[in-house]
Amino acid sequence: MFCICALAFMLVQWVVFYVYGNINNILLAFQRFDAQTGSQVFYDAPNMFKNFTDFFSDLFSGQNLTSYFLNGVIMHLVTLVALPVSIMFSFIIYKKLPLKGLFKVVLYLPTIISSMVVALFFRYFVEYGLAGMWRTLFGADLPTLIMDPYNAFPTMLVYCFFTSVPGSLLLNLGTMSRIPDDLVEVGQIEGFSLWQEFIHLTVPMMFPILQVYCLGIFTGFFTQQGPLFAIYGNGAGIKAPEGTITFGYYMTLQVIGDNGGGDNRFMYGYTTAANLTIGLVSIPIIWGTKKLFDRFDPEAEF
Amino acid sequence: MENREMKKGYSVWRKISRKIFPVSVWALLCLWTVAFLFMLFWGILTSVKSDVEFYLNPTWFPSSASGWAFNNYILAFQNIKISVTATKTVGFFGLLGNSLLYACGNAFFSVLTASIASYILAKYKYIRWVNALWPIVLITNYMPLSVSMAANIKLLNDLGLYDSLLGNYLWSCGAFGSVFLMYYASWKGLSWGYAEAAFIDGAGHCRTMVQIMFPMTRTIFGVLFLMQFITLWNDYMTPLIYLPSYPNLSYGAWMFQYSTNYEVADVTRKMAGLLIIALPVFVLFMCFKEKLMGSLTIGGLKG
Repeated sequence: MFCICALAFMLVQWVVFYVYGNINNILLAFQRFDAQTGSQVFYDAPNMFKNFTDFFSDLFSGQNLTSYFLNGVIMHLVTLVALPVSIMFSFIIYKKLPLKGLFKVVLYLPTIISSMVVALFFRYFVEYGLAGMWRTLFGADLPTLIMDPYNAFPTMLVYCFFTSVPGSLLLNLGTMSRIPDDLVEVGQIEGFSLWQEFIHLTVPMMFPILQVYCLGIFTGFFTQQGPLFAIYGNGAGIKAPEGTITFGYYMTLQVIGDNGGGDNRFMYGYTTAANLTIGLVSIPIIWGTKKLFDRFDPEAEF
Repeated sequence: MENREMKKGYSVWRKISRKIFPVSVWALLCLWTVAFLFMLFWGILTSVKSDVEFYLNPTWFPSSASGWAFNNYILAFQNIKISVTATKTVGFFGLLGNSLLYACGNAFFSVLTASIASYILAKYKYIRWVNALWPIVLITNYMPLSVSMAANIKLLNDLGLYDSLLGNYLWSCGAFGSVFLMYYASWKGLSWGYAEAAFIDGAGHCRTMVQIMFPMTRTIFGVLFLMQFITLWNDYMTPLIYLPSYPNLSYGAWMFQYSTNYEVADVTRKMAGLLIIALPVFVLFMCFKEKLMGSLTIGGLKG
């Protein structure tokens, strides 16, 4: 009885917001907005899959959506590349190398300060601070990095790498600090260098947490938005250069963006169908990643 | 002789090679730190410069006393506001209040529900139906089913919870996510003997949970609450999309960039505004730095 009472609310919440939410999500993918009634209605049977066919034809037309999709994947890969660097940074702090206190606080700052504030700091710094320094040092103007169609995407990638590097510092340090001292001492007696300790001791011990990170990264693999909403806004006024737009940002703009007074609800079905398709494509990737981790898991207990 | 030279050379090379990894990563870390601090320093410096000084010299210290403009902060503070409706405007303190309500409420309820659910699943797994709930945890954490933004808006509208703080609390207090996994690990490490002793003394299950077991995990509760609080404090998308009548400071930071008021049109005042918005959470972090750093692990997380 106690267990039922204690869990009742949580189970109802899960059923309503997770189960019903996902059912609602699936249903919406087969619906369109009816402006007369102001509600979402189902397509007629022959057009039942219209949102999906529209999405696939946009995706494989080789036009904008394809490049948005690729941009999102590239942006996410940068986050993946930053992961080992982030673990190495945590390892250096864990080994108490000089300035570890400063590193700890500074690496944690991007987590503390709103990503919006960090993104805008970055934007103004690149637009004005870096440009000013460049002029002082080289006597020439720095190419526009935020608004230029060719430079904007690499600049966003730099930003993604720069802000992904701190990673989950606290979790990394917490997990590393749980590695038994005896094991580390055995490694030292065996003559392990820090590199060997990192590869043969720390990484295997961190396997469960690495699995969580990788699963997290792959979950949003195709829908990465990056800092685009923070830096370029919702499409009103300043527009993001075409070559910068990611699939996630594009979809966000369709639902909440400024579209010149048009009703965003017309895009609900289409974006939901796209989201559902991406989710289905992600499932084998997520489970494949999990299986891969399970296979190579050293099963270190500590 | 030659052999000894070779051995010496090998030993020196071995010593150097052992240092390559830590030194190179340490140098990279220094580089990252310097770049981040420089960006921050530039932002702070810019926020106290006059407009003219900034456009003449956007990088370094003002060349004269007239180049400083500390009143940028006053002007920025006065102009941090969002029009929610045609007649209602939310200023800095309104945004701060909304941030507190949004972050505190959501963080508290999400950690509370996760702590209760994880307690039941960790300590009462001998009950068959309780143990059978594990798939919920696995599905919630490992199935990449995400409800689309559009479907969420529709769902909240259908339930009458759109643009409602209470609705937002209900929506986001899911018990079986990542907070559950972290709390579960700490319950697993806590001996059931304390509860058994309480049962012998006549305490019921509820009293044992509230008065005996929960106090022993209050540190992990506090740390998870703080972590959730900071994440939610910095969240701008949820208030922007689902709580348009309750804009928070992060949303304010975003809107502040598009302020058409001439008083804050310059970069110097925009930087001052961003720093004002970042200040409350930075102060909080400095107060709880020691608590936050070093209390968190994710041991025993393997599903």
